[in-house]
Amino acid sequence: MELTPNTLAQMLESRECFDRNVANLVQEADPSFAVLLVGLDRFKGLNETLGTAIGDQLLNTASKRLLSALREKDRVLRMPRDEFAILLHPVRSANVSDIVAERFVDLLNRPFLVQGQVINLTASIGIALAPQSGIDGDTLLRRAGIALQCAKSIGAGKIRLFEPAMEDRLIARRTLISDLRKALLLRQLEVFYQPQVDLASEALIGFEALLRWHHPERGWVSPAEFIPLAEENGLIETIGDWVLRTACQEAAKLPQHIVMAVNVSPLQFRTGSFLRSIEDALTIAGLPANRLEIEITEGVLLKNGQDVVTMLNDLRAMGVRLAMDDFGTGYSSLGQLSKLPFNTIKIDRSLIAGGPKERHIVRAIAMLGTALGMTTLAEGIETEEQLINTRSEGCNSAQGYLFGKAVPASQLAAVLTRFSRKRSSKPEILEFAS
Amino acid sequence: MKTETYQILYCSRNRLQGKPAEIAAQVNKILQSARRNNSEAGVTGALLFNTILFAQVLEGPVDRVEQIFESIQCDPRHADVTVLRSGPVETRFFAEWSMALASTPSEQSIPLMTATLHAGLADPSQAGEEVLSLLRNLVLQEENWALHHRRSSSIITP
Repeated sequence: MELTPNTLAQMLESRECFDRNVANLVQEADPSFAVLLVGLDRFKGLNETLGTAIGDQLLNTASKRLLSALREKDRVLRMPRDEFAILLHPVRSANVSDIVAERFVDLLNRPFLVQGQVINLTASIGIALAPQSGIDGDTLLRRAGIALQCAKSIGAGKIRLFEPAMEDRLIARRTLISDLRKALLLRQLEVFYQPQVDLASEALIGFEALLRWHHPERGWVSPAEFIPLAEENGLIETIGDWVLRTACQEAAKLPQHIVMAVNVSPLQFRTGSFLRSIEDALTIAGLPANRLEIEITEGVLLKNGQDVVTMLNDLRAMGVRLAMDDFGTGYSSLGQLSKLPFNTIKIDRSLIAGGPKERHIVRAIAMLGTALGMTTLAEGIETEEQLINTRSEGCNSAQGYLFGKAVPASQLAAVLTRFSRKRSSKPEILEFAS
Repeated sequence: MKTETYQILYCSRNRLQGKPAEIAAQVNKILQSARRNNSEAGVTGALLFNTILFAQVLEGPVDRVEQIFESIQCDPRHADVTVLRSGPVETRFFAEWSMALASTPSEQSIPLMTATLHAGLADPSQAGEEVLSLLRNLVLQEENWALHHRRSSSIITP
């Protein structure tokens, strides 16, 4: 596309130039304008595979496409790497900037032809409106950047308008990450253990190790909140290894028939040193491999395919037990399950707490488990009724509040005593089953 | 040395608004400017359209094809552009046309064309050849029809 001198003038030369433009707009009678930060998704990867020459030409063409859609007073600035900042003026409502942003996304989503190569891109956009979200270049660009991050986090080719809540969340996350680093150092993380029982005899057969974080100000922080943060910030390996070692050491002190189940994050699987970590944990604790059960979710299998299957087989060859966690919530591929070396299928609590339909599913999973030679464990048993149901549906084992909450290591002995007493008092069990 | 001929075939969704006759008029405009630009650039090709879809072939020197393709990309009158085929070719498929219009001469071919183009959008890797030969056949049919029409009308008019 040939650019006219007028269009070229809409291309700003520098960041200073951009800031000056913003300062001028603020002085105008109608100071309503918007800063859009346009980011090309996955550009880094493209640059690496196609070379920087093609990458640069691609960025040039992309900026021309953006220029072609600008209105008279709009301006565009090439930012470092793969981003463009766009100054839209006037913008009387968020609607205007949305429409323009959609046009940009549409334009950049169209194929590029560079040096005979067809390249497909997507772009995401963050928008900050002035004056409400800032009146200087720095603040507006930063907030458009926050909105862009939000857009990218929900998928490619998305548009997000900056809201103060986004910044609050970001600050809260940053604080939580630094707190988590501190917690690791100060040993504020703790492993709790939830009993697992055999449904036929109600004997204690194992524990699931569960990570707990007691934050000095916030109290208990849910793993659902901090595990993803740990994964994003490279802390999961350290945390995972620590949990594994702690749980193995605790298990070694328990009677020999008790199995310790430990959850593993998909990212731990990818590290390449995962098998070594397991071996080390077992050796240090002096725990036989068959007393450790590794729990993974289906997500691990979906993302990593064959590598994970190899790893699972290696773990089985070591003697470590394997459990499929949260079965029934994701894709729950039955075909896949039959090909994998799992010892235990853990049926998700949502199915256990469900109605008659879910009970059919539980029954089917229990039958499947029996057919495949796998144990089925019902998660989240909270009531007598659920206990009776899961037993009649054919599940082998269970865990849940009815049998006991997760407890710190210091209370493990008490749990063992409680279960041995329960077993010897037959009438109680009869009453249970009736 | 003869420069290599580069060819690209793409499909896109028609965003033109209006009655069929109005759309046809707008396409005609697009065609006129395409023919002007293409013959200057030494680019040939064919354009196929109906109310839902466009399919276009561009062929010529790679830099010129790139330029023209890029200006087409900035056009808001279509969307969802999908490249079905691209790369060097031995000979031009549409050497004689700066931009041939493959309209749909018979009612029967409309469903066929729509089906082929839809398949093209759903599975670009498979459909390139099919769309290309569809385009070529339609262009040739059009030519035959025009020739025939001219001949028969010349018989009638003295």
